[in-house]
Amino acid sequence: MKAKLLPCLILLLFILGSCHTKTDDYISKYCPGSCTVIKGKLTTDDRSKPLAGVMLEAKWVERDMLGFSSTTRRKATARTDANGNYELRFLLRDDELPQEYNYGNIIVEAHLDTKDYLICSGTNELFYSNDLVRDTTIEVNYNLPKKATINLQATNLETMQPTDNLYTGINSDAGDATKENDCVGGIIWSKYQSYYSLDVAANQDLTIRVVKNKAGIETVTEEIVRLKPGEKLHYQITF
Amino acid sequence: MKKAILLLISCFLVIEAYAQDSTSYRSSIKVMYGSAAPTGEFGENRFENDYPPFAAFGSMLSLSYSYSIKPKLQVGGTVALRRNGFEETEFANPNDRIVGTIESEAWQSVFTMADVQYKWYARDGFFYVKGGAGLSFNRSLSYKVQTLFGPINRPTDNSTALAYGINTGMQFDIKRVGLGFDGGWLATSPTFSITDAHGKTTKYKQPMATINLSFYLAYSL
Repeated sequence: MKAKLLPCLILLLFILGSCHTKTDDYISKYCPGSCTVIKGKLTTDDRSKPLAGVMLEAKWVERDMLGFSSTTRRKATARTDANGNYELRFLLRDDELPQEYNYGNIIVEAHLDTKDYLICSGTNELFYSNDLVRDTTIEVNYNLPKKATINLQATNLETMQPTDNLYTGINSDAGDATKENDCVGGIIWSKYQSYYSLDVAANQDLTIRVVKNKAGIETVTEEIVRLKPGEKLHYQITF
Repeated sequence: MKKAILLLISCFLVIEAYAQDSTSYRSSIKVMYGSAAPTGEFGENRFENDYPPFAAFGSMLSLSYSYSIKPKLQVGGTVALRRNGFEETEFANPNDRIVGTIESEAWQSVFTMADVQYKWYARDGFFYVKGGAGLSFNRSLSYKVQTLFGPINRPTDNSTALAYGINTGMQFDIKRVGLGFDGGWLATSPTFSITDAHGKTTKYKQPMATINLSFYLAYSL
């Protein structure tokens, strides 16, 4: 009896794993009316430079709770112009409108290499929403800086007592442009790990903030650095 | 290996020996009809493209004239009409309840080509390879798709471009009449303009290459 379970399990996985459908919704792409519009501007660096020629894609994705099956409909594509402006215009179908038991989301993805650009989520996803409706326009601007790296090394951690703590934070201005410096990279140090690597925004002024709480005395130090795209900075912190 | 080479040489010698009948005619005309399968970018519908071709499997009708300048070498000309319809099922699911009626006019090209043909004669016909270059007069696809939310229109445009192609085939001769089978590749790349519903005009270059398989009827003069 035990020997028969494995083929059943493989068959079950195969059946469940084969439920991913992906379709191109051209009726939505050439939206004939009642369109939903997502528009805005992409910038890079410290928001000073438009990001031109980036392909953006809006799609509707519905996944089941376990992720075994999903439905993806590509709804629209657009490329940013010389000023970084884009406009995604699409038609929401009835099953994509907000309703009870609707697990789908409209997702906007940027076709950018996440090895070169800092997108805070770590994926190409810029935006998602499950409550978009027809005949509406929303504006969303994004800052997508190029990526640099700060390699942080803390020394003297072995002297850290249970009541002591050490925190290092570096905030980059990346993502939704209505919020400033909302891409937070932070480390709470422990004596067990003395090295971390953080992806940060290039061509921006970054504040490395170190908060040290030692024997009941808190000291805060801040240093501003600016890195070039792809640059790796070694930064040492002493507890 | 030696046997195979000897066999091949023998075949060519036999073919040459029987070549005299077919070479006695200086010129011929032929009418060809067959399929035109979109290939390359003409056969691909990429969602990212502003205007994917949606080109369906089509047909081609052509009329050729050839004149012998050497026993195995002919020059001539071809006029061809090629049509590839709207691949509706790629555009919209047939069961899509949003979609109503669909009206469309096919991609259409008229080719006027100058040809060079080289023949290898057989006992009762010949094999050939043909290359051609010329002009194509093209009309882009147009469609009007009615939906519950309004129509989707793609207007048509006309454009002229250079065209080129290569064919190979075989012909079986019964006196002056020949029956043949031809396979080839025919390409052109016109630039079309399109104005969308918001008044924005876009120019796009549309490679239009097809693989053609045809039967033909020839008459030697």
